[in-house]
Amino acid sequence: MNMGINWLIVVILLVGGPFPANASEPWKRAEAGWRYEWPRDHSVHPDFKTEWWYFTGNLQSKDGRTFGYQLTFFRQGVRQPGSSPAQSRFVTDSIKFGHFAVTDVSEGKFQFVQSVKRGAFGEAGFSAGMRLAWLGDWNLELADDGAFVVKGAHDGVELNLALENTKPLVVHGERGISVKSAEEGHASHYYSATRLRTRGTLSTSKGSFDVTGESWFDHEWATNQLAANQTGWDWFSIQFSDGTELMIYRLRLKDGTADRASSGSWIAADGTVRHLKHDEIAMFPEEFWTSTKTGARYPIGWKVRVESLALEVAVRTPVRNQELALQPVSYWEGLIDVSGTREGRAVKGHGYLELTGYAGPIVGISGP
Amino acid sequence: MGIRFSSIQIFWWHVARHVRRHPVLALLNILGIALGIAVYLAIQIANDSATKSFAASVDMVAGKAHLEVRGDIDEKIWPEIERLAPISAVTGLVEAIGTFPDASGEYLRIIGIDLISGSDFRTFELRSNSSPIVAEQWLSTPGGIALSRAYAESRGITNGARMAIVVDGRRVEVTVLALIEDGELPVADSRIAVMDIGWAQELTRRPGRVNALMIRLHDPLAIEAAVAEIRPHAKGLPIAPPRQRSAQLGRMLAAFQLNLTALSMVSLLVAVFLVFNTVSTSVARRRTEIGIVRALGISKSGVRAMYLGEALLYAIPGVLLGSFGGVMLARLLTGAVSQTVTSLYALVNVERIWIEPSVLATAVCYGVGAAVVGAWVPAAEASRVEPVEALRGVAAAVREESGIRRLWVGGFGALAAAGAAAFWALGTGPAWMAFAAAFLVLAGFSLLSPVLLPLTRLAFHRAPWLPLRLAAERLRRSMRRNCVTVSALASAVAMLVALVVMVFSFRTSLDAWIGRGIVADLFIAPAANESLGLNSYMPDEAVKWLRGRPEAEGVDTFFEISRDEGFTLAVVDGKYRDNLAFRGVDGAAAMARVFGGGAVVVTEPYARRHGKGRGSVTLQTATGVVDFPIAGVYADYSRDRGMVLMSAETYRKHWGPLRVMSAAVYLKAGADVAALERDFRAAFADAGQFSVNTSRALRARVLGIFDQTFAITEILRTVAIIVAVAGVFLTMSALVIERHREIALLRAIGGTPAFVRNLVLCEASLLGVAAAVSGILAGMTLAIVLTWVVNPAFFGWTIAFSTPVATIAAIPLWLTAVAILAAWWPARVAGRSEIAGALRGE
Repeated sequence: MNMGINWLIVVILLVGGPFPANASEPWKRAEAGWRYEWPRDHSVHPDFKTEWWYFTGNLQSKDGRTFGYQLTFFRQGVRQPGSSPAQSRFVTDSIKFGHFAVTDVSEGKFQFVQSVKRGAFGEAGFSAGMRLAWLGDWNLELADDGAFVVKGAHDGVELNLALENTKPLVVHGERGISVKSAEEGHASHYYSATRLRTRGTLSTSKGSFDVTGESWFDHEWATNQLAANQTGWDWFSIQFSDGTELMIYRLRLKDGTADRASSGSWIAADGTVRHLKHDEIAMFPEEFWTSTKTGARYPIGWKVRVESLALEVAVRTPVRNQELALQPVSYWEGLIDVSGTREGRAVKGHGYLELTGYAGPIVGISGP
Repeated sequence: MGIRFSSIQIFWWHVARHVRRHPVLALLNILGIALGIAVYLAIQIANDSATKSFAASVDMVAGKAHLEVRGDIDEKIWPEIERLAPISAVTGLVEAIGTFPDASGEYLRIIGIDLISGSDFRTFELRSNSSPIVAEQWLSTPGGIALSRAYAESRGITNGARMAIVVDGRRVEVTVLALIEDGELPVADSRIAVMDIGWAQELTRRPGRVNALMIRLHDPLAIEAAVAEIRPHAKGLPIAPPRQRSAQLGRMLAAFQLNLTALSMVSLLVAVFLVFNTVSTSVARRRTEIGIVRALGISKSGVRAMYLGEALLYAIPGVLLGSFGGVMLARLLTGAVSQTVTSLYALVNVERIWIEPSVLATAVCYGVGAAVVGAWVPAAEASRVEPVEALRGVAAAVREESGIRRLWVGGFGALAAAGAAAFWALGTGPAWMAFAAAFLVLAGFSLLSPVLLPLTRLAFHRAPWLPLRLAAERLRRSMRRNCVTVSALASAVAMLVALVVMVFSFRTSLDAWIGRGIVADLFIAPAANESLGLNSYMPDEAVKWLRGRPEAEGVDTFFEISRDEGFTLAVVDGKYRDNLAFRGVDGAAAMARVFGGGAVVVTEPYARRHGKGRGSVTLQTATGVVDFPIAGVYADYSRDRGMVLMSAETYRKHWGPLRVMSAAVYLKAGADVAALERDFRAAFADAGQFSVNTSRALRARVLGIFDQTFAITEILRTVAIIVAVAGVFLTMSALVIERHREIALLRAIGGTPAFVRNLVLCEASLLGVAAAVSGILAGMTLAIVLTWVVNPAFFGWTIAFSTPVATIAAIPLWLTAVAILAAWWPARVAGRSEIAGALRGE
């Protein structure tokens, strides 16, 4: 689900107690019964407070180099549409921000950046048209043939990809919502493109590479999705070599246990989706890495077992440091290799792992 | 001699003991030095503190910017500049002044910032502390502000509080969203309200406009190349490193500072006189002892060192005391200095005092230097005492005659040099020459004032009262000693007279200028402009309302902006009311060119500072570089940096929209001023957002501001009186000590204690009279130099010389009275002196 980091805290050195909630109308909440429609639902949902478009992928160049990438566009609503109009262009309805990271497996190198914009001059924004999101020179567009065209760039690293969907879009959860807490009212609308045929160019300090590979796209929108007793989550997206995919997440509670709302989806090669419940999934950390920047100790190696699928795999990463050490929230998000068995047969795969809440509290994601 | 004395022992025995025996004398010397040091330090510290406070407030908003574009800026150039190759980041600021409807004088400096683009610029770290405020609140709360904790606590404001403030004459509501911890802000002024740039634009009703763009460069050293690239996008706007504004203030204060530093030097000069006097007495009284010391084997240079050492015994405590006093005095002066800076240049509020070690070190050097200089001549004289001669009891050779000749030569020489310096200063020479002229006048008269002493004898030697006759004769005989006292006193009086005359002349000229210039019936401006500098604007609807009133014959509006070229650009929207005093040209014709022909007129300070009263003024405008022809020069006392006046039409043509800082309303004959004022207040100013003044009230206010600016002269007047008291007391005490044998003799031959007392009092009053007369002469000359040389050369102001006759005439009266009072104690001592003991040695 790639809940990402929808905090952006205004970090005034402030003192003093909590403020009264903004007097404006409440944001719309994710409720059961949402009817998904594309391409409409690829676009922005401004009535919800938070929203993100999340791309991760494994890429190979012709000369055999392996890369991982993450490109995310976040929208954090600050004023509901319909709030009293303002004349200043700086009075904005949302903050636009994004994360861009590239892992060069051959070099063992991980580069990341955060970009935050107000969009006062139209330099960042979201639209209901074909240009879904943009942030400075980062861009997300829908091509005429339905493919996604994405661009991310920073400090000599530039990524230009065309992503073609090879399987049906997958709606996670049940009845159109992905529940995020055993407590009432915490959920999101969440769908994925689990296997995107990817083609494009990646320029790094080592040169410019034509790359191909597989990507995963998450689009999620919600208001107030995390509960107060949750401290973070561990999220996996895996594309197996047999044409199936697995997405699972575990929400960690303050008492160290997993929230019963933790769940997942298994997508068969023909696109059939099977919703996985909390008690079907077992996951055990096996390998840890401690960040010298934040001091956080991340579980970067796992054993994952889904008994109902007769699936047991080991999750490992070729690059230990894939931490996005950012302000105000740091997290680990990186490419992984997977191997194990399903129904007695050996399976392999690759994907992405996201670990949050290990480098301090995740602030701001729950509602006021 | 079987016993060897160390130099230190002899110093203690010979010099220090003497100092200990005459504590009052010692104290006066110490005070003299302390006074000079205190005044010097206070002025330096006050100016330093004002400059540094300003620099800190620049730093806070400018942060880590390499360049700054300032002015009324169309925000559209922000992304344009951001895209330029040398630029790494740009952020905008919206600034305004908020005042409180309830508390006059209180204000908040409102700074609208963009937390997002501004993150590279902030010097104060915006980190989350206990409970962070989410973006939502900061970005979605109209009028949401963050206050410094220090300020909030001082005003009893709590987090979450809502309050009303006045911005540009409008009452608006703000909500305190956060408190900024003390120590996080590098500012001396805690009165800041930080808010989001968007809500700041809404609050000031200025969508689309920002007050500054802060710019960071990829290569901070390539400033000039970057400015060249930015220039086409920021036409007519100053582009400079933010620090430059602090430097500009420093330069502006330098003129102010020089003025006051010169005066502190005068008080140090007085200290030199006091030390000279004291050490001379010390040497004269102990010629025999010096002979003994010499006979004990102390060398000439050793004797000299001892008497210089005596001076140090005064200098060291004097410096300590003066440093302490200077810091205390600085606290008083700082208010005056920041007020001056605020009304002339930019809003500055000094909340703490900055003391530079280098300033302290300089003060110490001055104090010690003054003492050494004062003691040098008497110490040299002491070193020339031959053991034999002194032990034989030979009196000091009196070289009065040659001394007088030297005084005459030196005095007139100094005056001639003063004339030359003045001439030079007014011509092509540097402006500080004007101060040199003033100093030379003072020095010249100091040298000449003792010459007046024989004149007092001429005036009084036939006086019917014996003590007076005798006093006049004695003063003449002890001229060598008295000349120093008279010089010191005369210097203090001269300083006082000069200031009084200059301030009076200035005020008279200013009053005449106001009488001519302030001709409208009603003046209206946002109240904040009066005390906080011109930073607030009139709402358009208020101006429209005034223009629409049937009883208004006309409404002129004004705007002004401080230009980086070092002058003020004033813009008037209206017509000429024959209210400017032009020099040498027809005012109506000149102003017709201003209103009709795109010309400008300039003030005298501008003409002097920029060396032009004709030709044209070249300015960077939004349409490029433009030459504005100068149609005339007029008298103005409002801006010492100089002012260029143009019409609103000209301004709009070259810069675009014009805002209004104040309005002058002219009424039709018979219209009711009070009714208009009442109606205006009812419509716009329910809580004092505007100051509405009639011409009479405005005149009183302008003079009030003037008096406040020159309040510092009151301090110097006090200095003059202290110097008078100290000088007379010191001299008379010294005379009584020195002449105790002579006094005893007078008593022995039948003089009653009352006779002796009267004699001393007469001498004191004659000293007072001589010093007053000489001081007034010197002071008037100094005033002429200040008025006709220093002011035009330094400030470009033309001031008509006028004399406060009564004030000046009163000086000899109170000075004599002060002298008599100061001599009271020495006179009593003299009257009570013991005859037998004193005469035993004869």
